[in-house]
Amino acid sequence: MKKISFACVYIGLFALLAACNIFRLPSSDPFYSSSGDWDSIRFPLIKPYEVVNIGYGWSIQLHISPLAKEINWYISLNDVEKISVKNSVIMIYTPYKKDVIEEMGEKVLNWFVIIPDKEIETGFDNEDDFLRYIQEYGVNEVAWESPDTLYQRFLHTGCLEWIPGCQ
Amino acid sequence: MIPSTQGTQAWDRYAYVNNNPVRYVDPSGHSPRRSDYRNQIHANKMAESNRRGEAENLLDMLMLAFAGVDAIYLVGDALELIQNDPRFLEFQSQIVFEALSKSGYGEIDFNFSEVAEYGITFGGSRDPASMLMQFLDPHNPMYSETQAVGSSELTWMLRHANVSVDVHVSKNGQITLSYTLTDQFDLTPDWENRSLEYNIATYFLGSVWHGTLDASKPYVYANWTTVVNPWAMCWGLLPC
Repeated sequence: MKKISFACVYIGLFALLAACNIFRLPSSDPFYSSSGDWDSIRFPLIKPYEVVNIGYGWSIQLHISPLAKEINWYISLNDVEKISVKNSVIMIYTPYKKDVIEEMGEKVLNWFVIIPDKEIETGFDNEDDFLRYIQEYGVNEVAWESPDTLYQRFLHTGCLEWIPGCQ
Repeated sequence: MIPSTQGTQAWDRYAYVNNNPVRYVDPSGHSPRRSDYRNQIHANKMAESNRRGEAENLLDMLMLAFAGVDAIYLVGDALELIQNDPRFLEFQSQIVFEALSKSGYGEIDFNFSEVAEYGITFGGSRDPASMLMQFLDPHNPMYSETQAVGSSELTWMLRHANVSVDVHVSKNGQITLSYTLTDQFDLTPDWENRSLEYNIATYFLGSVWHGTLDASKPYVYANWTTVVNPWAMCWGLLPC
């Protein structure tokens, strides 16, 4: 009986604290409202792109097949350090040095641009090329933020500027 | 040392470590990738440990942790579950496509390595609805995905694990994938990198499991090789 009482107290406490998460969600789409799975945390960029952390740093899975894109040696971005989203353009910086085969023309890329509407996933090895590229899509200035900052804002407000209903 | 660009050996980036950069280090100072470095640390810890055991299922893992081992090697049925997990198969397909898209494919032998975005989610994807709603109505058919996740053995054995793969592509197109999986079997809260629900649950469960019962927090390790022939992709064994 004592064990059952303890279990009820734990379950009640669990439910109460978990409830903190459900009254803050402005979006009905779970993609834009979920802040994590059981043992991971995440926040949404523009669907289907999300930033995930399972304890080893922030990473973003890419969605366009390597067969269909120019930077075919990247299937995910690891150690993401800075992110900006403007005009439906996702901009990412990571200092991660991916293992590449230079002899095959592959390069270590640190600046990435994702435009979901246009099915673009591309990357650059220098900032100048990156800045020139985003200007073509109407982005003249990059307001970088760290994933930690964005996650905390999402966790506490349920909102990020690019989430539908948050502007 | 810069290898000659003549001959196929020049493409073999890991010849200097017997094609196994996870287990060996490069004394000449090539900087290791972080994930391999982490795998290396885990592998070293396990190699040093005298207290290790093999597990084929969750019960084995629990018993080994309870017995205080430092390292658990996943074998048999556990490996089979991992190899057939949908998210893992998706990752494997990505790697195969990456190999196929490289400019030298079908012309030369080459090697490369890849990391599974710092972790693969094993056991399936749960329904993205609020965990509390699902907790209060666990048998609702709407949440069948979550129920499947909860009943999956891999959810409890791993859930998220680091996977890296060294890929060897033969001139004839055959792709050999050598996987290394590492994880830690523990129930410790991590307030910065885990969900609130996870931390609350592990705060209580972990204090009993690791505290009262004195169970260890063993590293979990698995290593296996898969060979993919390109023809298999267009015969329905992998997405074409």
